[in-house]
Amino acid sequence: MRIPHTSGRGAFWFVVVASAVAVVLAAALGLVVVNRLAGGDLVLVEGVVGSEKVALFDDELVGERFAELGYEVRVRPRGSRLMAEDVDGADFVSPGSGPASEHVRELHGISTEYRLFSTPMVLLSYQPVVDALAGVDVAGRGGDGTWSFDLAAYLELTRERTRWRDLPGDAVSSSNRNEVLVRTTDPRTSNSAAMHVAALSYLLNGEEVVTPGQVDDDLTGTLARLFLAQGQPPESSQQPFEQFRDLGAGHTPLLWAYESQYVDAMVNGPALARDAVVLYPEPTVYAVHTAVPFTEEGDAVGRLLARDPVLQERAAAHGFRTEGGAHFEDLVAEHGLPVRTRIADVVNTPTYGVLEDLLAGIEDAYGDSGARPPAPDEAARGGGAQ
Amino acid sequence: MTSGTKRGGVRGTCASVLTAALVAAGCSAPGPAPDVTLRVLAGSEVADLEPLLEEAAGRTGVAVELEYTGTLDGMARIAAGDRGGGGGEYDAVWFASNRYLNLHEGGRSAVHVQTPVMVSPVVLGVAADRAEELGWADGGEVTWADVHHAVAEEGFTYGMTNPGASNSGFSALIGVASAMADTGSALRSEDVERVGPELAEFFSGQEVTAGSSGWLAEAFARRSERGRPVDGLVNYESVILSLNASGALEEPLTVVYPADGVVTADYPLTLLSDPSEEALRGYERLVEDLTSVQTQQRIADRTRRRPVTAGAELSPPVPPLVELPFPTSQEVVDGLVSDYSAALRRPARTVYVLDVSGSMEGERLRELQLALNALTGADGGSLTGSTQSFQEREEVTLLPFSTTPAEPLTFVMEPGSVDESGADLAEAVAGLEAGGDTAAYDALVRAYELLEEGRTGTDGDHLMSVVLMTDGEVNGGIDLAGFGDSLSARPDAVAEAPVFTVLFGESDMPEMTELADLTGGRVFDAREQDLEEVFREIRGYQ
Repeated sequence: MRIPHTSGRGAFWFVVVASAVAVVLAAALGLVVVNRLAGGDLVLVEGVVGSEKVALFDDELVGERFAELGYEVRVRPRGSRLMAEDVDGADFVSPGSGPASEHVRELHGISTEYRLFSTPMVLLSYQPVVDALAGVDVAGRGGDGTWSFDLAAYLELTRERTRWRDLPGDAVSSSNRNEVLVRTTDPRTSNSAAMHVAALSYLLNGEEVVTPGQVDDDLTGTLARLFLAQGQPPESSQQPFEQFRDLGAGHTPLLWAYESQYVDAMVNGPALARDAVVLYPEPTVYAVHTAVPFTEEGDAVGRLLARDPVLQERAAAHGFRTEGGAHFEDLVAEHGLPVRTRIADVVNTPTYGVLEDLLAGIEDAYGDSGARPPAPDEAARGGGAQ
Repeated sequence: MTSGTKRGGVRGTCASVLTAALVAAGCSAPGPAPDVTLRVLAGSEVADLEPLLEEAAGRTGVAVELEYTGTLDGMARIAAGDRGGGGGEYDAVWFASNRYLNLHEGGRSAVHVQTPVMVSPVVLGVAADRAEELGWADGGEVTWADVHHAVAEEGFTYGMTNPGASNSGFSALIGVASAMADTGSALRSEDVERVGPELAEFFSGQEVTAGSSGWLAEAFARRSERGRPVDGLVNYESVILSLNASGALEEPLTVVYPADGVVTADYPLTLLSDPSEEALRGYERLVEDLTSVQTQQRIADRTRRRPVTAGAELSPPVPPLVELPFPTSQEVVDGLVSDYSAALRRPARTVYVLDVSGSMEGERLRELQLALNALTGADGGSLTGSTQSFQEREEVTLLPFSTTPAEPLTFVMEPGSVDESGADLAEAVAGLEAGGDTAAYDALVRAYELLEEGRTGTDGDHLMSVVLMTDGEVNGGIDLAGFGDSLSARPDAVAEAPVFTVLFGESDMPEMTELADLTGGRVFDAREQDLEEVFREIRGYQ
């Protein structure tokens, strides 16, 4: 369940148990602790977060830890792109990218930003599809057994409007007449798709991060086609991930996803099929998750998310890469996941202004195709509808 | 069977069976009495979940009140911000797919959260012998283009629901058009234009239409039983598998999975925006139960839809499928559905047999006039509304009757002058006067005579049907048996035309039901519901 405004049952039981032992604790630890543990005194802190982090906040252990520290944290999901405009009543926001975080801070004149954890963007596919892609040198296996995805070679395929059935070999894809396209979320609303724009725009701009003034119709036109041709986009990153998992390679041969989604599924279930493959785009981008506080309480929660070892460990348990410690490395080693602990080919995301120009150009193309642009509050909810 | 906006109350109270029978009644544990009721606007497709929802209510304490409506119609309402239901505002919607909602301005903002509960692709079921003949029985690759060729060259016929009224027909239309366009990417307006002629040929094979997927399956089975079979059925995989399992057919249909792709329904239970705390918690509890492995297995076993939770499985196993990209633009979709109605499908020929006996005098006649008028003008509003009005190429005959049938008035909706024909029709409707007895069967005999006369040599292309609206018992002329005899003397193509009977005033329900069954039609109830709404719903079946 990833639904906002719910406090986990675990938290409730913790409060009951905590209250029961409070008398004993009072003698040993003093009144300050007692006050914090007595259920009603938890400080309620509300956050607006990218949908990809709702599972983390819904985690019972996370709820328990926050309660231990004196907080009850409630979150509602919003798309990172328009999160900045929709912060009513929030104590903090937690976008999923540097540019989005930059925009929130600029718009609200806030200098503080906690860097919580990050996750690289990856591609998910199935072995027969990967084999077909290897046949045209788009996919390749590294010495360590992990897979690379040559994003430039992929762009070349899309220029020729290659179909799945055109690829060599007798894969699942042999009867698939759809174009070879990476399935993404809605670039008008979702952070994950914006990260796709960031990576592709680097290549389309002659392997340079796009700078202000470099956004032209050619660039946005090429990008827009790669989204529009996919058809109606899923609203949030969870939806296409579930379709990939449940409906197989015919439905979604190739998915743009957060690495954390893959790791989370393989560690915590429901797991992906045995022949599901994670590929590292070259280049890829990191989705950097931050917390930007609006209130003192929000600041405290942001700092805890970034520094508390238990919360950091929980973030790693959900597949995010944390800065300190070896939680993530330990986790993937323990589960034997074909995940790259070090990723070499990473490019920076453009600044907020540039990324916004690119996304606005793509949004216009949806409009020109007859598709209606989402109204601001619709778009904001885009990230939340799962 | 009656129809209209129906309400199904599903509650979890097991109070009356608080005995050892509890387990058998599906209340496997003495769960909480329902403390939350979710009001849900739903497509008729999910009606088969009512028993499962009742069981779930016993476990979760969340009761569900379903109110049914057409998919596109319901979504247009929600997108326009209209959440008013019979018993208060809707908390949630539950249709076969939210795709059309997502295309709409205001559609996405109306959603708080959505959870796909089960999955079923729209595919093709084919009579086993025909599948054999066409070389489709051995599991080889069959594409929508192959189906098109079978229509054009082998006289292949099929049933499909009306895309303006039902999601399975809507999905099929989008899927077939995308597959024909064969661009590998989402359909654009220029693609629709390009493949128009092929689509028209494809739809020339559509022998049966319907306003709902379930009724379509029944109509298919009835045609087969009466020795006037249709070759195939475009419908949800789940409906075809259920029909096969029902024993209604002598031989199960061969399920053909088009290799170029399908459009899949994912039945998202969708909580509307700004939910109350209570609705939110109720939704959360219900979804948790519905997506549990146990409930998912029950859904798979009972409805033959594919489960969405790992651990539950549809058995026997079904193949994975290629999904066709769904258009990004409402303009493309609306344009395609409008084209289907006005140009691509076989046009309708309908005789409206209208009771203008003495009892219709006054308010009733006025309601009838308003209801018919509503079908003549361009609605100007929703897509569903515009597909419900009389379409280009369509032939509409008014046959008022009392003691005897009056002179029939036929209106042909010539392309380019539909408005004029509609105005003429409206004028004729305004001139109706009440008086005399109710000799409905004499009038029906006359209606079929008109259908037979209306056929010309080259014209096997109209989908024919009759609407009978009467407000009282038949008290003159021949009886039902006499009408039945006259029907069996007609040529097959004419005798197959169904009668859609409309209950109104003091209609004789058992007899109207018998008449609908006899002709392969359906009963619609306008006693509790506006006659206009009923006439609109019937449009989905014409």
